Amino acid sequence: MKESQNQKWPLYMGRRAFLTGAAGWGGALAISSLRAQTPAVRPPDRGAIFSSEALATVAAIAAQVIPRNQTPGADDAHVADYIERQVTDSPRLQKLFLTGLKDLDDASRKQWGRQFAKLTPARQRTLLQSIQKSEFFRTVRVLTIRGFYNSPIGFQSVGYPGPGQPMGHRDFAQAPGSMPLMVPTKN
Amino acid sequence: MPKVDACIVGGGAGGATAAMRLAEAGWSVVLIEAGPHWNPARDFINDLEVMNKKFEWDMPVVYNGNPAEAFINTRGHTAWGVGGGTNHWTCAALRLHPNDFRSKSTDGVGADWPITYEEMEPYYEMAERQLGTASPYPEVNFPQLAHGPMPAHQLSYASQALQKGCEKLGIRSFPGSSAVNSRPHDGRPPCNYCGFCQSGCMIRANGNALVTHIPRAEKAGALIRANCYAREILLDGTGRANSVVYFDAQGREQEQEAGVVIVACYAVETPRLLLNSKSSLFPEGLANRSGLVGKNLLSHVTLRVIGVCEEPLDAFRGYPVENLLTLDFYNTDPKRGFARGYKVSSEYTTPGDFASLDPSLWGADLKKHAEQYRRHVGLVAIGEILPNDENYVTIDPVVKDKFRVPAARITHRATDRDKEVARQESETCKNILEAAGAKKLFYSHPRSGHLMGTCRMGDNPKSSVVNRYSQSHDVKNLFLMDSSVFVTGGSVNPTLTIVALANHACEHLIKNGREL
Repeated sequence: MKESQNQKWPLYMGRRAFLTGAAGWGGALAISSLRAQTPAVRPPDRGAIFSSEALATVAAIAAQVIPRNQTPGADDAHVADYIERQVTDSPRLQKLFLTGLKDLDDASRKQWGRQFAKLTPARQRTLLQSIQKSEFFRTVRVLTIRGFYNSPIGFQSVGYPGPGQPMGHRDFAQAPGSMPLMVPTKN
Repeated sequence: MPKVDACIVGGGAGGATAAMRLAEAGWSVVLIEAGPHWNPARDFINDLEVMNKKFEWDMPVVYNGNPAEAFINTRGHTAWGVGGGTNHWTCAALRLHPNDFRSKSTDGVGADWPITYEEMEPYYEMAERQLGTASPYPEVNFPQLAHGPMPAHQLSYASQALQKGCEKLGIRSFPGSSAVNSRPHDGRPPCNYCGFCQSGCMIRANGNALVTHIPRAEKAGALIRANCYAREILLDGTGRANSVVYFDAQGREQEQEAGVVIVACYAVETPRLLLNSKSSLFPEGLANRSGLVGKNLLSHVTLRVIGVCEEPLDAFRGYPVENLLTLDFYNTDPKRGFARGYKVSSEYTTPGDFASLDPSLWGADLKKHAEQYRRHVGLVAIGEILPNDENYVTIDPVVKDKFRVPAARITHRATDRDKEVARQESETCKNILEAAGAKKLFYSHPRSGHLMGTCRMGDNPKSSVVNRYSQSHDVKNLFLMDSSVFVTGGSVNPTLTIVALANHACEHLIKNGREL
């Protein structure tokens, strides 16, 4: 199924075609070296659909939507990977990203002579401001928010302790912090 | 397949109730459900995004119009799987008001039901015991509130803040009537207030038909066939429903013969199944001599307003919807300029939904907004939409699902009156939130997943599809047990009424024998 998708969306062919050719760890290492911008090595079997250039562009947009400042940003929560998973699952998103990413990188090359991910943050912001009403940007924005604020890092950044189960919130009728947090004890 | 007494299509609140009642009365019952048979402990997690994906229907629906302007969920579906919509419902368990059954007589709009509140009352009580409702009745006495069996839940800290706001405005507010255990009930534990009703309750503390009705149905011998997808209902030579044709989990076509056929697939899929079941006797679709199958699609004007207070409230603690309720706006008030009304209740949200409230924000401003999450409170208003010839479900001439069954096509437009309801709802929510101390407010576009009314009940076969017992006027052994039989939708969540009507219909069936 993935192969036919690649034929349909040639922009994203790069790494997937490479992966099927390379075996085991060799492939994994090659991928992680391509992804110098994100802090952790990711598993090799994640069904990549973006080319490394496309993934870098997505990561750069996400990092502008939720930048790292005093608190963590989209990069810290691997939001680009989350977005890639959503796009992989949705033909509608694939279509939108195919043209959206290409248009953004084309505009970037035309204006500054290099791909979007390699621009300075200020130039990235300027370029994004010019497309912030577009369906593509609005979609990436929403996906970034979902990916980030649904992750433990995102929860932490807004002071949300995370999903309630299995302990629940038995202090629900009291003011925050007026009851000691219930933590599971050993045995 | 060997013939059974009853074949039920659809495993949601209505179908599960039918399976339980008929099996416990000694009938042989087969229930066909398109989705899987979830196991709450294994399959449900506190993650709305993951669960919304799991609960998403695996079949197409066409919306005839601009989805961005629709007041309804244009997918036309609730949750996927045995238990249906009750897998992810917010558990608001309210009865229709006595006036909801006779809006034509009292307000001159809508239509009257063939049954009254008084006739429905015993069945509402049955439904409340089966689903397990916690209600402030009798300390608070409104006809919409469930009568026990459990005491109401405490108000969460955030709901207390909202109640203070209501008090300032002279609005009466109280804990809602919800199908969430406030103490151990029916072998299920009390709620521990994780705040994730809509992700499916993994501890089985809420009234999900999957854990309230289905186990009892199975214990009484009902066969639940999950992952089976009904295509059409066939007739015998005498014009009675004979069998249900469906695709089993392996995609093979099967035929289940039954003495009685019960359709309970929700207000979009039920008319779709009937309209797709054409025969020489019913060229316009099964049980459709009235021409009303699919007509009068009802919904609600449902909108949300979120406010940000100055102190942390941690609204994520407690159950997320209708912990606090007011019914002061429910009945017609001539001053409002429209007939009928709405209810307002508390609703809280997740960090992700909160962060995306303002579509213009990104960058550092977005983060600053998201960081106010612990200070949010919210309200949801649900208002009545009246039956209307221009809102209906038909069969799409082009789109088919993966089994090549033609898809449903929904046409639903908000009228100027509905837009006025929405405007006044936002106004009321704004006033309460501001009185509760909220500074910044965010308004949602009205959108409701409550779909009803496409096979309405009535005494006259010319102006209704089923009679007061949810029995088809045209096909005597065909029953509909879901929200499609509603004549009007009131301003309450439909599930409790679906379960009450199914109990009502099943008692009629049991009394009249297996071969009607």
